[in-house]
Amino acid sequence: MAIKSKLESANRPLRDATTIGKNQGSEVPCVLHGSWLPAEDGGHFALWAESPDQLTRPRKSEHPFQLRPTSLADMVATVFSSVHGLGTRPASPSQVWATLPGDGVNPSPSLELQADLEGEIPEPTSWGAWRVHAIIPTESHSLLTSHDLQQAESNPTVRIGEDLKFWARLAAALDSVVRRHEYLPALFPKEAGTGKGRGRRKNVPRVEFKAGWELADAAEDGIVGPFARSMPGVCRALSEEPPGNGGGEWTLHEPQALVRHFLATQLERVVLRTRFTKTTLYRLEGSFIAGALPEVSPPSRLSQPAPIGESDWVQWRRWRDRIQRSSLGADERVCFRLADPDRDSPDTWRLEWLLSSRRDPSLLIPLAKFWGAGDWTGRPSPRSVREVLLQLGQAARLYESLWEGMNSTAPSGVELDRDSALEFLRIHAPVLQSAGFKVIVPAWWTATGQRRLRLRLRPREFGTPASVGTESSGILGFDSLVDFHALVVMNGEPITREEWESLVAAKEGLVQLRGEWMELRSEEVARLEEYWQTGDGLRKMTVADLVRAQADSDSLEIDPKSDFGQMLAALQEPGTLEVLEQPEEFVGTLRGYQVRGFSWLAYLERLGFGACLADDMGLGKTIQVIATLLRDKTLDPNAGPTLLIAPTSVLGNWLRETRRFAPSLSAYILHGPQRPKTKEALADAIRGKDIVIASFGVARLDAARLKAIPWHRLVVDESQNIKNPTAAVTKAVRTFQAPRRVALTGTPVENRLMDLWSLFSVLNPGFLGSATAFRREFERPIMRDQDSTAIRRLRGMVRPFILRRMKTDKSIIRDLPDKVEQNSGCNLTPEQATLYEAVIADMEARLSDAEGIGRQGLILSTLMRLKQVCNHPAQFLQDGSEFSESRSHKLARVCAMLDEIEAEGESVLVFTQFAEIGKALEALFRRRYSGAVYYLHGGTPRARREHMMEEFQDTETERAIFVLSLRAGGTGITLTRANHVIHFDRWWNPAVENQATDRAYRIGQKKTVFVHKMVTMGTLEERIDELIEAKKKLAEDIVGNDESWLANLDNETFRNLVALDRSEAVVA
Amino acid sequence: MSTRSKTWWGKEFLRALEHCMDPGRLSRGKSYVLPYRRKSFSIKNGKITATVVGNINHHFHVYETPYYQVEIGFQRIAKTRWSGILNRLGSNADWVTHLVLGEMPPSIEQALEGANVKLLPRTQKEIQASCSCPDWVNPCKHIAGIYYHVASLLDRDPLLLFEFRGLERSKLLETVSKSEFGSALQGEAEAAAPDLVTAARAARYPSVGRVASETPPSDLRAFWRGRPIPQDAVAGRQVPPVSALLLRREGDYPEFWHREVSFLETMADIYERVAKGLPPKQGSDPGIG
Repeated sequence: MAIKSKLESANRPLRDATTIGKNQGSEVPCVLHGSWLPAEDGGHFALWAESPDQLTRPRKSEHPFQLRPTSLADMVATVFSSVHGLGTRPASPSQVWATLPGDGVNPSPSLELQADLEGEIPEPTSWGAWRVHAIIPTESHSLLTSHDLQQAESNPTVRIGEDLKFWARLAAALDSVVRRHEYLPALFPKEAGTGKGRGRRKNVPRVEFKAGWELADAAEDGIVGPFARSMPGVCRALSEEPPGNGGGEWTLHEPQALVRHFLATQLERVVLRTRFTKTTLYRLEGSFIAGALPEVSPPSRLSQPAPIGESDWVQWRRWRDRIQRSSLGADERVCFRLADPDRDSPDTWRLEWLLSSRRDPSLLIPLAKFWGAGDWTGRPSPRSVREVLLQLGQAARLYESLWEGMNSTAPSGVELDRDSALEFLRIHAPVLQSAGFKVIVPAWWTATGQRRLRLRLRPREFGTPASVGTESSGILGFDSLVDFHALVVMNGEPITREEWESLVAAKEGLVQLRGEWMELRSEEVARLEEYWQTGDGLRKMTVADLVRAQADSDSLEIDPKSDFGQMLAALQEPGTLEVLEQPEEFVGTLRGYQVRGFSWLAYLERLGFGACLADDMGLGKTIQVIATLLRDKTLDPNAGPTLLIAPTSVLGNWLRETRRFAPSLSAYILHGPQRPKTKEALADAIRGKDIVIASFGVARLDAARLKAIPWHRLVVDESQNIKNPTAAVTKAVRTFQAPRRVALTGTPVENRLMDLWSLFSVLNPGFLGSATAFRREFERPIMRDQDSTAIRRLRGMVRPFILRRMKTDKSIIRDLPDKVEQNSGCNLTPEQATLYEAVIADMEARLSDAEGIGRQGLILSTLMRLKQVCNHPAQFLQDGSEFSESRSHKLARVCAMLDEIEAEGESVLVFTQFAEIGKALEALFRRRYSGAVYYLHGGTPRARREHMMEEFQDTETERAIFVLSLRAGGTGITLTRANHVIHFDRWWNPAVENQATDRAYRIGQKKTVFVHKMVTMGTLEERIDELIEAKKKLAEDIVGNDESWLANLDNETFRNLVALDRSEAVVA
Repeated sequence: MSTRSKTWWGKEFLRALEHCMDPGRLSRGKSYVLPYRRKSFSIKNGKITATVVGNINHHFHVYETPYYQVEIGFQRIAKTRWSGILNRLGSNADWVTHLVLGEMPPSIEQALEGANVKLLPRTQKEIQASCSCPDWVNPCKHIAGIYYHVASLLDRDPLLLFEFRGLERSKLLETVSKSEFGSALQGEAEAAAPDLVTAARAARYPSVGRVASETPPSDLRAFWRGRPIPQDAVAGRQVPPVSALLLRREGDYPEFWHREVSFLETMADIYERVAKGLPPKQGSDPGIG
């Protein structure tokens, strides 16, 4: 019997760090590094790779842990697969020197590599220089700004060094400067020896001029400081020549200068890389700027720059100095402030001129005062007078009206009429601001202070109070018509007919209403006028149209006092909703926010809307739904079944949670090959059931039968599974008939637009329009143009139907204990179930005959092997087979949880008692997740252990996953960076588990800690859990610290403990 | 070399000349505006002296390249008037600012109120011009050529007009500097002397020195990881609504730009093309969350 032999092989004693699969060996990825190599006349970008494996026969001073040229070239080609024409720069060095920390002999591995290395790593004690093989790409800018670098994050065979990431960020910062046109043509003089024998000018150095570009100083200053301060040392470590250690001191490049050098050279390369038309180049004929642009090929007369002389430079330099003010140390910055006009002269606006300080932006004085009394430093000096006049003149070049205020002995501002004031606000203020001047606009012009005229719709009462009565059917629905009145309001206050007419008389522009200023746009007037024309008559609109209309909050609002308004408010702020009583038959107590969520669900259902509950993982979405089901049953015992669709790996958990919290509900799992295959059989099977649980797979396969049933409600758990609108499963689910619809998800739903559409096509069919219309109206404007109005509108449309609460919300924290422990039930895969039963059969065959030590050994090894089966078949078989999610629902479940934890940017501890599982998890997580993954086990050297802990706890590092062996990591250490703890397998003693949990749940933890205990249902794991629960209740130490006491159980008790209950286990 | 002025005052200067002399004769000077025509050219005490290279003309028995002496002077403003004018000038922010920007204030004639002549010539009587060529009609081609040259000089240096009217530049600056804003003008004149020798000593790109590491070799975090970069340093501000905005502070046709086409438009085109050539910005679906 094949299984038997496998069982025997599983009897080998367990060693720490045994591998499960051949493929999960030490696949430590290489680290791709890269840095800027500055040179006087330019520079190179050098890529090199650090390898975990030592070179065979490293040469003298060669970095012993690196990739040789061929493998390096392969790696670079793999990582930068989308960059075309990736070549090597001609005449570039193939090796460069790297100054690195080391132990006196070898360089120490980078932190990126260390994260993946086993074994003790000595602390570096000294600097040294090593040669590394390098690739110098022809064109580094497109390399650094390509998407490839981001994509490489998910490539398991390579890690991108922080140095390379740093330069990529710097290149991106440069790009944004280029997009803002914040650079200038420049002329660089260069001494070219002294001129010979030219009369009296003999000793004057000969100067040559080279055309190029320079960054605007304000833009450069904004980049250099922050980047130089953040720069990793390794970015400064490369050099073409041996760096030497003159005076016994090893040196690195000076960071500020290095950043400036990189920016200066890359800026020119960005320009030189651009394609220009001949027309453009012709316009530059004879100007030195032609020399700063790429040459046209074949070279033509047009591309020949004229010889550049000293006078060109002097002229350029004067021009440049007048633009680059702050590089000359000018602290003055002219500021423009538009204030409201006096009450009695609404057409006389004043744009006041002030002086502010670059160094201290809080200093601000009106120019009117400056001329007489000076600035904060005293009397105006000739230099500062000149600076102010120059800046005013430059501003006037951008906004001509400023000249009107200049004809004065003490210019202090300019008067504007009403239209000019609006023109200033709309056009000139943003221009002046971008050109470096300070601009202060009235509060009512800013986004937050803006006042708008809106049409207020006041729907007639439709008899829905803010609470839900006993009726259980949808009373509103999207298609019902609602009567409403309309009126025009400003900031909530109704406008009278007279006021409106006086506004319309002003047509458009800046108008004053009730003493306050606002902008009135002609299209706004036209739209609102239409409503005034038709007067106070009643209109009709469907509910869907009303909800859509209110999303356009710029022009329309629903009277907040109306039923409809109150309903919308309640939907968006469930705190205002009247809370329902927790259903009587519910076992346990719902937390405050869970009661609010459950009431919100009930409220939406009553109105006939589909709802998406998107609470964070761990907040208890499941029990909110169970409470809803239970309530229905109380209201109407014959309500009919709810169809719940969920991923296979959580089917059992739903069953378990339903039984636990609502034992009065009868649940049915629609799964497996024996499930009903005809409509009639299905109808029979679910008769009298309250909840029918099916996987997404069954929903798709059995769609024809499922859509024939009139469901009471449809619940889609993990609704990201229906995010693809064209997937078969989404299409299938869309056909199901149910008046109530609920979707559950732990990942934010608003982030991808077509996902959102797909979700709503199931929840509230038709509400977001057809897919094509949705693309046209929302997806394209938002994706392509970042259209903020479309974003606001869409948000306004979907918000009422989505309840997303995060565990960091104040209202949630209040209800949450510091530690939330929950069991996560998993099923067995058919493979696991077969193996499980084989272990039992093997034990049965030997149990009756075994005695003494032999019996004890048999019992303990049986327990061990069953636990292995529950974890993963590969752990049990130890045959090097694939450690895949599809073979273990427990593993699939844990991965799904880690996905959500990753999406939330949080860190997690995963405990296991098996070294081989720890190792396999580590390898799997490494491949699956981009951040750091640590693994601490009994064999981890002390220094490495300290290092991992420090890295993990460091708030400046990325979120991480920490796999720990229960024994090695269960005590003594602090890992409060994590606020999730997953117990992959169970231990008999809750004290040991709690101690492990306390690595995260201890002083220093600022968040609620979520503890997830994985329990395979229908197996000994569930019974261990029951034992632990019972033990907690007894508060007595009847079981020992380990499993040895189990050996004293009699055969029958032991059999019951380990037996597989197939009906419970949901083998799927 | 252009015979068309790019500034209003340069244009006005030529228009004034056309007004007070035969426009046909004046325009004959256009062919004499190229640099090789001027063997020498100087302005001293407001007087223009030039040697103009004429044409060989067998018909008129000119067999060798002739050199003609051209002298041009303008009627001066009485010395007694100047201090009043300069006081007015120096206490008006508009006028001084225009001059600081290198422009002639549009309302400059108001500053000269009460003077015997305007700043720009009105009649031929205000100009004394002579040429050693055989042509006895004024202006001859050579004088006219110098007029065009002067107009293009005025584009760059409007203060020349004051010199022509008898006020030396140093005197102008000195007198004006005593008034309200005048010091600004003087500062401007002084500041306008960039130092080529120092500039030429600097390297083409910032020179990158080497310094001892600020952190010990055991500080692996500082060496391999550095510190997080503030987000606003990477993303920066919004793209401004106007192209080549910074350059617009200094106006169109800077001194070093000798082309007829607009400098700002040409540069705006270059900036747009460079920005368009950048790889697309990193980032994904913005979502509505």
